[in-house]
Amino acid sequence: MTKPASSEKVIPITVGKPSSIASFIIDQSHMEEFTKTEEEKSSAVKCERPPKGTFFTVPKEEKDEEGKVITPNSRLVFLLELPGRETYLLTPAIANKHSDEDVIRPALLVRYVSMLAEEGLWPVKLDPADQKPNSWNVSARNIVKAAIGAWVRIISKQKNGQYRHSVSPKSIEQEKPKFSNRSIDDLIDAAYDENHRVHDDNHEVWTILAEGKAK
Amino acid sequence: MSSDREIVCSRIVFPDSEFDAKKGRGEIPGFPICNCAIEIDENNQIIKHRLRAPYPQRPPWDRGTQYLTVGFALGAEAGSFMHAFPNWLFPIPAIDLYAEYLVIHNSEMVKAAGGGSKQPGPSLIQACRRYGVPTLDPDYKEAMRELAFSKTDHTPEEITKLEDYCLDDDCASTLRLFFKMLPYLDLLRAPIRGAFMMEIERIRWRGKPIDTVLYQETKQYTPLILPKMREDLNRKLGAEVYFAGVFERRMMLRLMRQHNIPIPIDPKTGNESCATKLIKSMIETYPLLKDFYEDKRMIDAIKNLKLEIGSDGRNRCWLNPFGTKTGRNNPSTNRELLGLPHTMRSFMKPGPGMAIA
Repeated sequence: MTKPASSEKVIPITVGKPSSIASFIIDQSHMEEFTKTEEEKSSAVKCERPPKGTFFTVPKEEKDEEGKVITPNSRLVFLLELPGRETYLLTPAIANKHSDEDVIRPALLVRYVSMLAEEGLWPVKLDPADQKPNSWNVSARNIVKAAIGAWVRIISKQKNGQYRHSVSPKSIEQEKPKFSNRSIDDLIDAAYDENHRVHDDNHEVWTILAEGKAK
Repeated sequence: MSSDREIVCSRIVFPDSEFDAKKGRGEIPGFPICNCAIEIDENNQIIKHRLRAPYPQRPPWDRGTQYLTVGFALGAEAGSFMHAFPNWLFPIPAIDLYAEYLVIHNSEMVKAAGGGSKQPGPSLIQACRRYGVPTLDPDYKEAMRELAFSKTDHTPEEITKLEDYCLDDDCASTLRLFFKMLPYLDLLRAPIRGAFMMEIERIRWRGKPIDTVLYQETKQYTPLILPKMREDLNRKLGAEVYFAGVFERRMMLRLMRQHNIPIPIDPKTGNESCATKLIKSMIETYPLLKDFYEDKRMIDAIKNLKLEIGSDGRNRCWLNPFGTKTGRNNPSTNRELLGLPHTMRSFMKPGPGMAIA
């Protein structure tokens, strides 16, 4: 029996002490984004239509004894959408001031959560009072109503120009929705940061609309 | 000098033992016929240790100065230590080259298995070949294993033969493999894995108490239960995914299409598949798949029920440490109780006065 010559350099050998396991932890703080709960990691909230093929539900509004809504499930807002760019949230006053811009339109931001516990806001477009109702918008509003107290998923029917929905056989009681403790206003705050809110005429979005690009 | 987090070892010991593993029988492994070790001492000299029953209180290499234990699948040695030196604590620090191999070659083993799972761990011969380490003739190895397993009343000559084999084959191969793998070892963390490999054997020895009456009844009535479970699943899905007792994969795929459920592609074959392991991540989105997943797993589990239960009514099975691509235990899904669907855990029944196991 001969030992390899390399053993000359090996002894004495220094190895880790298993009882000091805590000191050997590899820093994985960069992975925390994957391990946090949905609520913790959702510092940014998606503001888009619930993904296809995913069941979601909308919370029921809570009202006080006088019938006044104390916990709304949606908010009426004005959005400025530039195709190919980001969407901005406008204050009613500034939206009113620029009402001639057709890229500004009212929308209902509806709170929802998917069966996979992903919480978001669905911007349901509202039709201007002086225009014929758009069938996509009408069907979307109907699905919002159907999603209160039930799990539904959206199916786009391009041929009919509207959405239809499918209701899950799993009830809300069987599969409880995992809404976070945040209010709808907290979610809107998370979805539109300061740079995506337009309070006055000094915002760069007006320059883009006037000149084609920001300075 | 050793620090708070490091230990300096002046010797290295490569132990190995010969015993009947009683594989697949749910029994505690047999008493070691011999416990041997090759030691590289402080002076870089080789010492060969040969031990046979009656064993001393502690092995002769444990003589005060700090040493490093190195083995291949140290769980087996941990079992022999528990038999031969019942009052002796497991050696610390210890490095298990089997565990280190699984860690070092994780990506390669996952890729070879198709990406979804991980290849089984290597034997000592396979690991040696991977690192270009010469090993003894496999036929000779098999003959020696046969000698160890086939009887309990070995003659002194036979024990000497087994000691020679133990030292010159397994201990020597492990020593050579260690020096080949050394540049790739994370020496700070390897002893944590080594300690785990030995402690997990203690857990396996303990086993889990099984309600053997219920288990035998289940086995007995399986031919009656299975058709009912299949019919039940057909009813839930509204389609005959089981026809004449045979699972109709095409019918299930058609059902998924009808419900606009995306069909996963098996990474191994490139074909559409409704295998439970592939649809697992989809069951919370599609309630129909959840029903299918739960019932199909249950039907398959009952059909292939093979719990390894020892004569003392306890389930003991190879826990396959570091067996998944994420480094978790990966025991058999039909031989190990905790590998079965959750609903079948009621086969575990604590004895009188015991809370669980």
